[in-house]
Amino acid sequence: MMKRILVFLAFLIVAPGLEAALYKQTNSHTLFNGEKLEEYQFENGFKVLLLPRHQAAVLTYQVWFNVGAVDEKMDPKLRRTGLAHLFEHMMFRGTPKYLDGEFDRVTAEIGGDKQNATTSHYRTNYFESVPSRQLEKVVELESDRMANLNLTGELFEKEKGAVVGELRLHQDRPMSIAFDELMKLVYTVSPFQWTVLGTEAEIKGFTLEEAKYYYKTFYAPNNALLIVVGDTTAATLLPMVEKYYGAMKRQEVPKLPLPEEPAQKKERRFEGTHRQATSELVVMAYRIPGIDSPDFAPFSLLGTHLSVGMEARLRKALVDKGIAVMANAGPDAKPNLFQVYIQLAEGKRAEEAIRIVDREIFLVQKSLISSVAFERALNQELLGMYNDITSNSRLGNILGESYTQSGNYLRSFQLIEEYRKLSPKDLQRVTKAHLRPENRSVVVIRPEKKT
Amino acid sequence: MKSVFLFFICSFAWAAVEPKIIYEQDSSLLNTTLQIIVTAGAADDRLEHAGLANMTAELMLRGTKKRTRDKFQSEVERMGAALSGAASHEMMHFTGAVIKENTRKFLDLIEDFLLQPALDTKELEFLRTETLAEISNQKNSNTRLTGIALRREVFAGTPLERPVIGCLSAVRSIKREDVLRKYNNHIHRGNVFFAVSSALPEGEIKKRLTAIWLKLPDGLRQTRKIIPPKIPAVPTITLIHKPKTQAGAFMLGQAGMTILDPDRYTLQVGNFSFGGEPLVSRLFRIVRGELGYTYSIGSTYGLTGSLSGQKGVFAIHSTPSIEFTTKAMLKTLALWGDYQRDGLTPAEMQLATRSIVNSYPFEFDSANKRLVQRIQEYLYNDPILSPEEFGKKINGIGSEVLKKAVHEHHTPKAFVITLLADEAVIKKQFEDEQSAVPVDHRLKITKVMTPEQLVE
Repeated sequence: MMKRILVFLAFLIVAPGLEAALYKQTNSHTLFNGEKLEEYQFENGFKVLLLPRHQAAVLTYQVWFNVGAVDEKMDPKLRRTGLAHLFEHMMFRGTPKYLDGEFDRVTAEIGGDKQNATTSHYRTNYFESVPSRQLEKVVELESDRMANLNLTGELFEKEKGAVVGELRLHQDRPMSIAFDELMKLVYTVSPFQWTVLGTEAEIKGFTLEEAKYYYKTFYAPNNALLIVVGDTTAATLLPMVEKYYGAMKRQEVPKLPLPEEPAQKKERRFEGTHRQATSELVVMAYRIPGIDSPDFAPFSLLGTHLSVGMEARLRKALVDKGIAVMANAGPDAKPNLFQVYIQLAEGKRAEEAIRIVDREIFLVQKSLISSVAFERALNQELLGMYNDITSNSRLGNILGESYTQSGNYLRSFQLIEEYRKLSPKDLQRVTKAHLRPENRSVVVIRPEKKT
Repeated sequence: MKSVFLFFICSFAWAAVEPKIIYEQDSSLLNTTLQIIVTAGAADDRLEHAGLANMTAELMLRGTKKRTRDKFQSEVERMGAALSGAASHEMMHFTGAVIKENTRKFLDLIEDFLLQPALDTKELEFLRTETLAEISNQKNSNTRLTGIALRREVFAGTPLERPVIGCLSAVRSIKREDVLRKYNNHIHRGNVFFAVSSALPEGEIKKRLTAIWLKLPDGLRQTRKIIPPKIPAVPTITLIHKPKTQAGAFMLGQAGMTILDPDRYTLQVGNFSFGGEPLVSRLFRIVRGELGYTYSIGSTYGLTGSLSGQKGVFAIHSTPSIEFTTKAMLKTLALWGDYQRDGLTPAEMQLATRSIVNSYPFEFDSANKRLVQRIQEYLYNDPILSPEEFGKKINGIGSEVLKKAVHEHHTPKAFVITLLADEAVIKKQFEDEQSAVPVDHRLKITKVMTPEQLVE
């Protein structure tokens, strides 16, 4: 049972020099496993989450920015996609103090593990794990590239080559293309219809000025969240954060409201071929409420019921019968969709898989799933969460994703609480309400006919 | 067994009198994790039965003499547990996790499947259908295909020629009798040991696992056979023709090393800065960072799995955009030659040694990672080094030592390349990019295969 203490501490921390610090503790929580999570806020808007954990002398350091591909598309000064991702690559290209390649070199030299970055539609994150005695160096490195990036035309052009290479890999994967088509089908006005990677023409066409604008506007302390999980304490971490991030200036981050997507009135379908596909595949999406909604927890359990484990409903109906190689289902946030994706076995037809998915969803709507099946789904969720939180980096990811999806970094843990209050009726209710054909978009990709 | 294999017996057979149970207690864990390791794997099967070890491990979890598959799996998953079986060339392994409150009930199910699997004919047919579909599906992954082709070239005719999942023709031919024989011959006290991480008291879990182990038939631990890769004296290039691909893929392979190779740490230091570490390695910095030919490039001694008793394969791998495929390959070969001639620069050497030493704590930062270390120690007599011992070993590696080790293990001339691309496009590129090279010195495509041939 998760115990959450929502006590607002909001007192001023006093630094060792007895001078008033630039930060205050704004919240503290006890997680369901008994660990303490602390939240701090700096005057410039920079937010810090700290979960001290001392079993090993290592820690994970993650910086999350509330900006992704949808923002660049909505920004009147950009109106394109691909820069958020290209820019993520540029963050490894150096500063006056740490030249091109130095960030990676120094991070590796101090023992950094799994340093990398990712970009999605709604957020960008940078992360590494380091031995805890190297904390100050990683604070310095991350803050340096957040404030002092070298943006030169030569480096920018070089990095475009690597990003085009990444795009080509993406385009060679039939499943990736199926998802791109699905987003285009589901969204007619929302920027979620555009891909994070952008197009080759867009990537090659970005200017240095656009990159500089993007950096200055969105990589602001008040648009970022720092998450540290591992072997440190507030007394050690916060003065370092103050030293390196404290002088950063708050920026005016444009509010870029997303256009409201009109209600879907009938099923949408797209069929296409892919030169690299060797078997057919189906991806489908139903529009559902967001992660803040009380309906999200039932959808999450429904996804587990359908596709997690050997007893999962779609696995038994599709994979065990040799119709599909893989069948997955579950809700996603930003974009808010319940997705089903199936890689068929060679020679099997997409129509057969769609019929089976329809039948299984109909059965969930028609009769309550058994208490045994419900208990299975609930306990599989717990198993997954218990496993994830043992890892510093995965726990950091849970907090960061929850925060950038909903503004509430505890949302994933709250879902665990909500699962326990659900019954099979809740799964039936949300399935009836949202998993309707007219609320669905379906993409089928088939192999090209051999000539 | 064919005489072309070199067999070495690395460990003496012995009859075990008590179970080996490696235990990591950690009071913060909410799940109990259990690994059951059987020291006999796909390398112990005939090539014609490629995939047998993997199918045996999977079939063991599909019903017991007391419980149908549905009942067994439903009980496992309902209690908040997951259990999977698979094989490597060295071993079969079962990995389970359960929310800690249900550990005792979970161990009852472990006993059931380990001692009394049904190995049912009908379930075997379901599994075969699934496995065949999964094997065919490998054609969707360009990187997987280049790996399959490389394995096929360097381990031709041996049990290591095929991936552990097998190939279509072998999996089609496996009968229930083969699975029964595999189970009866290899699941016994000599081969089976356990590794557990849990918050629960060690004594209680060990007592229960000992009781299970004692019910297994007696047996001698499988001896380990080393099957070295065969690298031709001159370079060969196998092209996997995939029409219209936009991103090519290539692998360059040479012989790897065993976990107990005296040069293991030295070669790992060298490989770190040559190609092993993403973002900072020479291959990455130059072929991706400076030239922009590719999104991914790297090198590894773990292509055929983590270091083990098998020598395995060292591989350089990349996924260049199609227009840069030949350029990327030629540049990679040039860098490979430089590395063999000159080793690392002092700065690269310093980066590798410092990074490897400083990141050593990550090998032990969770109970499950500590388990992995201890399993390796037990399997291969590979001692776990303290941070001080490890630091001393790595920091003692100098440039000359590295160059000597690289010379002894690798050669700039003899290698196998597997390359996936559109045949017409790549042949033209080969001509254009090598037009200034004397014909006798040009790289040539020695074989063309299709994805279908590779998985059949």
